[in-house]
Order: sequence, then structure tokens, then C-alpha cells
Amino acid sequence: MKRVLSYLIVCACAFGCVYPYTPDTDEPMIMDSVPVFEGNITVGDKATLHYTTLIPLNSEKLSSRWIIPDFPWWVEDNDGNRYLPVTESPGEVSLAGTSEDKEYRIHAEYKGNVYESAWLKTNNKPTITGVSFNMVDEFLSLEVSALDAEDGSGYMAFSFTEAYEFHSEYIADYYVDTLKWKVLPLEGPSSYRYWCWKTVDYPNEQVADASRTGGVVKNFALRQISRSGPECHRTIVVEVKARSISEDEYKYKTNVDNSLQPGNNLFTPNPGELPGNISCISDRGRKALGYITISSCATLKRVFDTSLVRLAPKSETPLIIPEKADYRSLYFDYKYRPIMDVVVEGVFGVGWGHLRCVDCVAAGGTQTPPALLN
Amino acid sequence: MLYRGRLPDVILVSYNGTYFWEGKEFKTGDIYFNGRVYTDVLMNIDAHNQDVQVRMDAASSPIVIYRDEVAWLSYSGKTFVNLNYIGCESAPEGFFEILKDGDEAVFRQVQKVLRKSTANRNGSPLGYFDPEYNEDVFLYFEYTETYYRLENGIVKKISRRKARKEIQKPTVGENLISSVVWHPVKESSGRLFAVALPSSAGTLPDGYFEPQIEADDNFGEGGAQSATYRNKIYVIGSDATPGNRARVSGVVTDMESGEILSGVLVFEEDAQQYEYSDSRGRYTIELSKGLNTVHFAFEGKEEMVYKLEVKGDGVFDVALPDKINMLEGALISSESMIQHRTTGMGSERISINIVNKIPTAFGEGDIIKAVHMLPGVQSSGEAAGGINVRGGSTGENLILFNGNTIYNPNHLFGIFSSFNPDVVEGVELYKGTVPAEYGGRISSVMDVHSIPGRMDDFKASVGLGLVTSRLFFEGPLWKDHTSIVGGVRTTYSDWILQKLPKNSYYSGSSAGFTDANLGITHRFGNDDVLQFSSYLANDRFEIKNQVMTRYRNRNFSLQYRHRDGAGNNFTVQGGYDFYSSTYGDYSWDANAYEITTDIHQGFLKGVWKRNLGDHSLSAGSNTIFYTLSPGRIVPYKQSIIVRDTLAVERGLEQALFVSENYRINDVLSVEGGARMSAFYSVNSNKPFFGPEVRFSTKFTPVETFSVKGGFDIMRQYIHLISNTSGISPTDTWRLSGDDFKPMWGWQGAFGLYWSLPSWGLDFSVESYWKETRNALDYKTGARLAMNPNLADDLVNVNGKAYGMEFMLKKPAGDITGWMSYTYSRAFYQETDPEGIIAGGNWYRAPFDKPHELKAVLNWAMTHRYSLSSNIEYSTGRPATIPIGKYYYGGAWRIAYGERNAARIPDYFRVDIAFNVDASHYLRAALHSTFTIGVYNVLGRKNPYSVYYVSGRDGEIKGYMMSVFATQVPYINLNILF
Repeated sequence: MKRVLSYLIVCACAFGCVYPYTPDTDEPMIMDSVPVFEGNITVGDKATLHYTTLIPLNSEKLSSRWIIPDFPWWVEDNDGNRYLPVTESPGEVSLAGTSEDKEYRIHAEYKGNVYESAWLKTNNKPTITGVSFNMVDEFLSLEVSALDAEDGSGYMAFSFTEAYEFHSEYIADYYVDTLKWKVLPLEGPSSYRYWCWKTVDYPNEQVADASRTGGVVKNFALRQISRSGPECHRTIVVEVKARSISEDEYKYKTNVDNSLQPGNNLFTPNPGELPGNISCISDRGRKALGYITISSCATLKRVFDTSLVRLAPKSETPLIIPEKADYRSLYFDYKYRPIMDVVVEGVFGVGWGHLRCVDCVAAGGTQTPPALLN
Repeated sequence: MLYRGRLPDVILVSYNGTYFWEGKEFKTGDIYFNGRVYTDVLMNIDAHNQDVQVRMDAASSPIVIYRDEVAWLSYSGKTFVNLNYIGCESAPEGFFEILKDGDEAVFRQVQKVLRKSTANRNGSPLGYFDPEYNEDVFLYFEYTETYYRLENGIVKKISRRKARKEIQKPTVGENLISSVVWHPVKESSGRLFAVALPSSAGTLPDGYFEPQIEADDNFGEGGAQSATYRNKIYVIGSDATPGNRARVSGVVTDMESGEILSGVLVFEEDAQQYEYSDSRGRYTIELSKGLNTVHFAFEGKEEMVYKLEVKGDGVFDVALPDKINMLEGALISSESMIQHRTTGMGSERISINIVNKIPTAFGEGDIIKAVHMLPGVQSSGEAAGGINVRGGSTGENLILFNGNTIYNPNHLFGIFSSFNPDVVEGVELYKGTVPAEYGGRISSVMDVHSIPGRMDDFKASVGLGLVTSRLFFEGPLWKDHTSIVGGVRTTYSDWILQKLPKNSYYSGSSAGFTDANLGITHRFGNDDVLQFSSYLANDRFEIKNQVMTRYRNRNFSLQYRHRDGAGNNFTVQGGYDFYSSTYGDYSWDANAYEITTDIHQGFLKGVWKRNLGDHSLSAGSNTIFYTLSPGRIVPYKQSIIVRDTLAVERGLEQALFVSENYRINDVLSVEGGARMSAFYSVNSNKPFFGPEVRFSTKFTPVETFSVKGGFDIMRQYIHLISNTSGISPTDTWRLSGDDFKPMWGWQGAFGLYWSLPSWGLDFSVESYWKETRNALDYKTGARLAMNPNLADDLVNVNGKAYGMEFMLKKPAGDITGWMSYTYSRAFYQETDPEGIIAGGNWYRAPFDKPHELKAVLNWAMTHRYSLSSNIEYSTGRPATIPIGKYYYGGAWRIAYGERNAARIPDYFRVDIAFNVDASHYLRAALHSTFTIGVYNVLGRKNPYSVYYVSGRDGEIKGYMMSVFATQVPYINLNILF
């Protein structure tokens, strides 16, 4: 009886469910004509602008995420000075020698309409007070602490660049004879191993609310890495950038992030579109998306050796013997990766190892240490 | 004076057993009737109606002689006495067999109750073994007997075992009844007592049975005769009252429990006058001097008909027994007649008996879910708290529990309601013409009241469900003077959560609630009542290291009611309401916090009511003092969050109201009210005030058809700010002031009501148009919690709503319930013509659901077994959905279209439940009710919300969340002591 009751009760807790849902959202008439701008003005350095357009939700046309502007655009200050794009790089405007005392905005003319951002003024820099890697259970958490500028709104945005050292950690146990398409045990010494570096930029800024902490951000998590997973590389270098942002920008970016957050919370606010700070001034009814930022970044770099925090990594996952096929596809499908081309005397083939074995070239690495390490 | 009596009730259907005391055979004996003793009378006792039937001879038809003229009778060596006749007012009505005479007399009363059962039982249920028992007949007269003892002149119920013991004891004192003939004497004070007189034996006079032929003729033409009590004449008041009319007032109670009954129809037959008992069971009706026939009708109770000889103003209290008569035939219930006899419109009343039959997700009777099933009432989502009434938001409903304001009427976010079904008596929802005594919200008033508790003996019950359990008790603290009623409810959902897999998101989480009710009622005589009421509730929900919500309700009130013989009723109530909600976010250790909002509210309300015949007047005042803490943030554990408190808001709301209901003639009546409400914002040092209007009229050309119209203006000075679909712990309340203007709105309504007595059906159509001003909607991305500049994140909107509600109701019979279809729309528009939402144009309100079809059906298969079902369909609620995607900030994003421009999928749900009611064996120590059911029997995945996530390579996937996406079986057991 108790078992039956337990079953019933656990069932009662499992009534809530999530199911795929495809709304009828195609509204083709507006798609092409809605530009999305993403730009940044760094006073004294440069301004950049990319654009794309709104596409249908189910569209598979994803090839051109960002487009370098092929239309007239410039940066102008509140004294009426215009700064035009660099000829050889039409997505950039040089702002060398400009003053932080002025306000700036971006002006763009796209498909016969004029778009302008709001006037923007550089905020003072926040201070990054620490970058740390903290162990949280089985994760390694990259966290940043910062103090907002005195005149800051209490909102900050963080981004970071990461470089890590990795290597082919395991020696191949098997190899595929690509002439015979046969998997054979790899006998004899095969000690191919080399080290390399990879640099990854995380441009998506994460925003933090320090308005309730007196402008202090403490241990704000930027990224989590599994201590037993393949991303827990031997050495990691990160450079964290922080800037003060306005409350409006915080709201905009939070709303953009939340639009795709798992919303299975009963109290998730109803979603909606929050207007950015760029609009079509030639046709007020025309929609424009995006937000132009102005930055004055603080940066801090840290190097971290993960060997002290790495959990026992050896995988016991059985090796998959591939059928005759394009072995490279298995790289993605089965997560078993080619270590390297191996050369056994008289045989040409590809060696295979466990999950944590990462081929430097396939992973986009380089044997040249990154500048970030300096 | 000699009464000839009346013909006995004729039962037109077959039944087993007999309604007579022992057997059908009439016995010869003596009877004291109408001041004389008659001997050798052929008679028997009808134990169903507690009457005496006499016959001239074995071949003639019986006549019912009037019980109130019978002091005693004896036959077959047994003596029966009418205890009421000899002055024992504490005794039930009817006849009692004297088992032991003397100062400590012991009595036995036999009752025969008509039951219906498919489980055939001959023998003890009938009171004897019936050789003519017919197994194909399901109706039978059940035999029950009750024992009483006379103690110091008061009759008290005792057990059978105790009665046996008492009988064995020697008799003390003189024989009180059997050796003498008693004659009632009334003192000048009106007190009744008895004196012994020499026996003056005689026989029934010639001609006593003369009307037999006439009566038989009547029977042949008219069929069944009326019920009992009809021909007793009650004299009300004295001749001293001047004028041709007099006011009769009183309290209507439940005969079984002594609880007050509100909404009882009091109807005078000849003049076609009617009134209703109010929420305290009081009624006042003005009658012509002379003989009046007054009906007291209430759903589920026996309709009582009294003949009142009105000489002047006076009091007449009535107790209604449960309806046990299962006779077939047309039935016009009091519910049917309410729509034709009240001027107001747009109000619905649901008793707890109906609520308990409506299937719910976990089987517990739920007032809020029952109200959801009414036309014009929408839920904001499955299992979500709050209701939307006729295009109003959830914050525009005043929810009262015994006069206290309940700011959050939900447990576990809406899966359960705050109201313990054991304690609640019923609910009245005013969605149209709201009585002038209510105000403060612009959409509706939901008035929930609890039972006052029994004055005679203790009763208790225990309820066991899959998720909750309940304990309830009621009884006298001081018999017939002071009663107590209490209930406690709690959950064991923590235990359930512990059953979830350890790697589940909810592992280590906790959820649950506890609530408690306590009520004490003291009666000072018949006219004064003091009532204390309290309600305490705690809710908590925590996902370990993620989020926590906690909210509390605390409500206390003291009410004093007084009535006088002149028809005046006074009620004064004062109390305190407290609501606190805490939301904790623990997901980021350094910024972990808890935000708490509180509402403290003290109130004082006084109402005077007086019935002046065709006019009934009421007036009063209502004062509320608010102290509202809109936000207080504290760090959690090692967090660096800085403690902060938003400025406390204070405000005083004062309302004066007066209303009159004028019955112009039988066809036309009007009800008008005015309420002057004012609000003083202490923070902004600014007063707001404005008049409110209540008007409705009724045109009833025939008794079963009415046309009504109404117009209301309402004002509201406290605002619920929310950016979620239902009531959420992140919601916040704010008072009117510099930032928020008072809301106000008006509603015009029109309705047709048609009853078909022969079908037992009521049909109604109500249409309305409603507009609101200064309502609030949020801007996208609004921060509601701890926002000192909240007004900047909100927009002022005007609202409009309109709709038609069709309802077919079957209030009585084996199949009861209602079906309704509603077409309604609700829109908002920013007051700023260049508004950011929908470009300043009208847009759908979040609860705009045009089509709603609802059915609540209950089939009483037998008196104990019933099958009930809910069916609910509605258009999907409006939603803001994506219109496309774009790449921004290193990831794919989605762009949303206009607010509420699309809809989530339609909602459809069917529930069924099988109910087993308590047995009717009065001698049983325990009674139990049992319900087994399935919520969402079709297993339909009804959407609560939709959301979107980004997949690999920019693929956007939509998901729909269902709260109850499969069949939800449940079991509920109630054990009554």
C-alpha cells in the first residue's frame, strides 16, 4: 500500500511537463526591412558597426551573422564633427584624438532610411578588483569582482577573452587503416604528443546589477568549466573587460538575454521587445533593433593552472570502432576524436583516442603562445 | 375550538417500509387534543412528519390532527407526549414515548426518514422485517431512534446505553405525565406551563370526520397535499403596533447544525413579497396585518411554510431542516427564484456543498476553482492564482473572508485556495451590481464566509488527501450561547519532493503551506451576537540555492450584530489584516537577497439596515487605514547586498454609503445606492475622492421571466503591480498618491432570466460593457521589486471590456449543475496617445479570452453516491510571441511582436469524480465521505506558458509548459466524528 501511495504521489509531482511548440510567427513583410545594429564607440580609439537583418524564426539562413556595412554611416559628435569609416575597413571609424567630454552617436543610411543612435557619453571606468577561478562542486567557475565608477549607475557589463593550453594527452590505442578502412590495434610505440594554445573571444557581454550593493560586484560568474571535462585545460589565461553601463542598457541586454532563457518559471515576466537606442528617424513607424554602446573599459588578466583542481579525468567510455565512413564525421557524431595522423611503418591511418584527446589543429589551436600570455 | 385536521401527505412513488412509528396498523387509545381528552380513538403516529393521524374507523381515511394541539396520546400500553406542548422548548418537535416517568423522565423518539438506496436492505433499516418488501423499489423509510432525558426541566439527548441505565434506576418524584392530564396555561409574560386538571374524558364529536368525502374529492383532483406546519398559526406582535402593516424579522438557521443561513428566500404568498436573509442570516419583511402565508426556501433545505397572524412588529426565527424528500415532481428551488426576486444582477452564490462536488487537481474542495467555473470569471492560467472578472485584472477583485481582506487567496501559487473547505459555508461573487456597502475594487467582490459553529454539540472531521490533510472541529463552549469553530490544514509536500531524483532540479527543495481558522460566536439572547474570526496562513517554496518565496496572511476581526423588534439591524466590525510576501534569490551567493513587502490594514465598518416593506434601506461607513511597505531588501548569508527599505506608504480610505431597494409593484423594482469614497495619501499629503453609483432595476412581467439592467461606478485606491500572468510573489501593491492615480471604472449591464419550472431549468443571458480609467500596465523590462521609481517602469492605461454570458442552470434534481458560454473581450490602451505599447492603439489585455465554455455537472445516482464532472474550454490567452530572430551580442536572439498580439493554444479540460457521501446511520460513531477522481481525464497538455531557447547554430526552439499535462488521479477521504 505504501509503495502504491508513493507511486501516486510521485506521479502527482510529475504532472508538469514541457513540450515543443512552434508558433505561427512568419511575418515576411517586415523581415527584410528591419535592420539590427550592433556598434561600439570607444572614444580616443575607434568605433565599429555591424548590422544584420531580422529573419524568420525558422529560417536556416544563418551564414551571414554579421555584415560589414555597405551603406553610408559615420560617427558624429555634439559639435557637429563627422568621423567617416576607414576606407580599407568599412566597419570601422577611427576616433583617434577624440575627447571623452563630448557626446557621440552613430548615423547610418540603410535602404533609403536614416537611422541614428541616441547621444552617448563615455562613462568612467569601473575597477576590476579581482578575477578568480573558484571551485564549485564539480565545476570551475571563472568569477570577476569589480567596483563601479563613482558616477556609475551601478550596472556593469563584462566580457572576456580566454586562451588555454591544451595537448594530445593520450596515445592512440587504435588506428584506422584508411586504405583498407579497417580499425587495427596500434602496436608499438606511438608517443606523438604536442602542446598548443587556443584563444577564444567571448564578445557577448554579461551584465551585472550592482545597484543594490553600493556599486560592488563580487564573484560574478562569467563561465563555468567542468573539472572533469575536456575544457578543463592545463593552463588558462583570461583577460576580463568591464565597463559601466546605463540602466537602460542593462535593461536592454537583460531583456535580450531573457528572451531566450529557459522560461519554465511560473513567475517569469511576460516577454516583450524593449526598444534599443537606435531608431529610424526618417520613418518613425519603421522598426530598428540593436543597441549602440560606448565604452571605456577596465581590463584585468589572470593565468590559472588547472592541474590542482582537475578531477580524475580518465574516461572509461568504450572505444567506438567506426564503420567504413568518413571518419571525420565521427569527430562530431561520437565525440571520439582523431588524435593525429599516425604513421606506422608501412601503414597510413588515423589514430583514435578517448574524449579528452583533442587534436590541436582540428580544435583550431596554434603552437604559438598567444599574446595574452605576455 | 375543534380542528378537523387535514389530509395526510400522499406519496406518489413506491417505497418500502412505513412512515408510521411502529407499523401501519391504527390502534385504539386516548388522546389529549385541543384541551380535552378523547378516548377510544383509532390513531397512529406518523414518525416521518411527527404528526398524529386519526381515523373514524378502520375503513375510513385518516386525518392529520394538528400536533400543536396534541399534548399526549396513549395506546397499546405506551404513552407519547408532545414535549413542546408542555413547555419543554429545548426538545425537538414531535412525539416522545415515555420510557420512564418522574422528575428524571426518559424518552424515546422514533424518526422515519425517506431514503433512496440501490443496496436493498430489509429489516433493521425499516424498523421491522417487512414481508411485503419489494426489492425493485429503492425508496424506503429508514428507522432511527433517539433517546432523551429530562434534567431540571431541560430535555437532553442521551445515548441508548445511558437510556437503558436510567430506566433501571428507581423513579424519583411524581409521575409527571402519565397519571395526570396536563393543560397548558400561559402566563401574562407569555411563559407556558402546565397544570394538572381532572381528566375530562370524551369522544371525538360527531362530525369530526365529516370532511372526509370532501377531502377525498380534493385528493382526486389535486393529488398530493402540502407539507406539514402549514396550518399552524403563529401570532406575531401585539395589537399595539399602529397602521395596517408590521415588520417581522428574525434569523434563519440550519435546524441540524444551528448555523445561520444567508440568502434564504422569505416569500409571502398572497402579496408576492419577498426578501432574503443577509450574510448573518437575518431577514426583515413587512407584512399586512392579519393572516400571511410565508415561505422560507433555501437550496438543499426543506421549504418551510408558516401561517403568521401578524398583529404588530415582532420576531420570528426559523430553522430549516435538510431536504430529505425524494419525491418526484416539478421543483422550483429558491435559487431559481432568486433571479426573479432580487433586483441586483451579476451575482452568484455557491454553497460549500456544491464546491465540494467540483473536481479539483488534488481532490480538495476549492472555492476559487469553483468561482472559476462561473461565466465571466477567468483564471489566469492552470493552477495559477487570481481571477479575472469581466475584463478586470487580478488586482481589481476584493476578496473578503468574514469581512477581512485576503490579498493572496492562494496556496502553492494557486494549486490550492486559501480557504479551508471545512470551515467555509459559501461564497458570493458580485461581478455586476455590487452592493453599496462594498467598495475599494473596481471589478468584483468575492465574499467568503465561514460557518459560525454549532451551539448544541461537538463535531469534528479529519480530511486526508494526497498532498494535504485537514482537521476541523466545531461545537459549543457554552451550550446554546457560545460556539467555537476551527480548522487546520497542512501539506506533506516536502516528503514528496524528497522522493524526486537527487539529480533533479528540484532536489532538496521544499514547498508547503499551513493555515488555521478560529471563530468564536457568542449570542446574547436572540438579538445580539458577538463574533470573533481569525485566519492565519503560511506558504513557502524553495528551490535549493536558487529561489525562495514565502507569504503570510494574518487576519483578525471582531463583529457585533444587533437587531431590534422594529426591524433595524446593526452591524459593527473592526479588524486587522496583514499580508507579507518575501522573495529570495540565492542563485548568486554574493548578491543573494530577500525582498519583503508588507500590507498592514486596520478597518472599521458599520452597517445599518432596515426593512420598510416595499422599501429596504441600508447605510453605513467603512474606514480602512493602510500601512504598506513596498519593499525591504536584506542580504542573505554572506551576500554583500546593502540593506534598504523603500519609503513606507500610508493612506486612509473612508467611504460613506447608502442604498435603497424599492419594490414599486409586483412587476417593477429598483435598487439604487451611492457611495462616497475618499482616500487621503499621507505620503503625498493629497486627498482623492469621488462618488460611486450603484443602480439596478428589474422588470418581471411573469413570475418566471425577468429583465434587469444595472449601472455601477467603482473606485480603487490600492494597486497591484504585476508583470506576470498570475498572482506572483514578485508582485507588489502600491497606494494611490503622486505616482499612481486612483483607478475608477463603470459598468453597464443588461440581463434576461427565464425559469422553466416544469423542466427544473434556469436560463440567463447577461451582457455588459465596462470601462476603466487609470489602470496600470508595465513597460517591457520593468523592475517591480525594490524600485523607488516604479512609476517610470509603468504606463497608465484605460481599459474596455464587453461580453455576453449565457448560462443554463439546473439547481435541483438528480442531475444538477450549470453550463455556460461566454463571449467577452478586454482591451487596454495607453493614456499617452504616443504610447510605446502597440503605438498607443488598443491592444488585448492579458486575460482577453473571447470564447469560454464551462460545465459543472453532478449526478446523484443515489443519496450516497454521486458522479461529478467539469468541462472547461477557453480560447488561449493572449501572448507576446516572436516575429523573427537576429544575431546580436554574439548569439542569436528573438524579436517579439506587439504585446499580446497572438495567443497560446486553446485550453480544454475534462475532470470527473466519484463521490461517496457519509452514511445516514445516525447511530454510527463515525461517518466518512470519500472522493476518487481524475483531473484532466483526457490528459490534454494545456499550455500555461510558452518560451524559447536557442539551439545549436542559431536554431530557435519553442516550448510550451503545462502544469498538469497528464491525468491527475486523486483520492480524498473525510472522516466525520
